[in-house]
Amino acid sequence: MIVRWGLEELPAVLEDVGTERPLLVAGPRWDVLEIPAAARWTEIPSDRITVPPEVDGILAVGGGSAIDTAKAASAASSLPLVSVPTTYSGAEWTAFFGVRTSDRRQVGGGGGARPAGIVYDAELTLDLPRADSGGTAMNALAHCVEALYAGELEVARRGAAGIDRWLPRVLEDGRDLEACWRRRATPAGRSPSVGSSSRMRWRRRSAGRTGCRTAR
Amino acid sequence: MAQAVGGAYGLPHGAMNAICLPPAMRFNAPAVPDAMTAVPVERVEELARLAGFRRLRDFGVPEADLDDLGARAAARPGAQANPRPVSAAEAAELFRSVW
Repeated sequence: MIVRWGLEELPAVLEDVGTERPLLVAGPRWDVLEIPAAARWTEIPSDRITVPPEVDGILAVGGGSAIDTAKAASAASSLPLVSVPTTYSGAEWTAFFGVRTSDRRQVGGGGGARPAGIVYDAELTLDLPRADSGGTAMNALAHCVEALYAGELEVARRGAAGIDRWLPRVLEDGRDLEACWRRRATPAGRSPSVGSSSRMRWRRRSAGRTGCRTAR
Repeated sequence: MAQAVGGAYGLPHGAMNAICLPPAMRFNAPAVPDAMTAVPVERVEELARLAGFRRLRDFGVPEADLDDLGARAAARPGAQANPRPVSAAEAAELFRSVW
């Protein structure tokens, strides 16, 4: 799994997994990022996603519902998935997914997605409603407990300690960027520096370029 | 548990995890005592409350459905992998404890 920090890294990650023409799976609220894509899927969650023939990879931007919808597309097409998580759910790490209708009722689930890359950018979490910050962090904590059950004591303890320490600060002030970064950074044990607006960095990085390829 | 109840009524998965995790951890404690000291269930409960999640009834889950939810939870693949075997009646009791 390729993991990078900062939305400006997205073109390079897509390139590294061999995706030039992604199917972007993201709700309309992320239109603001202006991420170039060969095709779009905006119904989140969805039990009827289809993969158009012209795409060569799946790109999810959003929370667990968007990433699960994208994982269903990845599993159906065997195409690699790059996720840009905007919550703390942790869905980006596994090949399993739930399938929900657009009114969020679960109608199935499966496995076999091909998660290949993750790009974290804590600035994308700053407008999360408090209930979503708390809920998705508790979901991540449930994953830590699952890891405990599986005997992954150290990983689980580190993840849970990060949630324990930083979630109260995120709940206190959802725009506390240091807490959001560290809440996000803790599972991988990294603490990236805080930069300028993700959107502006993305635009700067992608300016003058067609598609998602980087000109490295 | 969280998938069974959230999936049935279209409720947020994270919120359902927050409410269901503490009783599930207490139920599993005899089977995985080391795990329970690594992540204290009392603190999990505190964090859930801090985030604003307390009872299933706050989300409109009908009390009359708890037995059915217990059966659904116990039949899920995740429950088959639970460290302690769980019956439909036990799962319903866990739901009842946080209803």
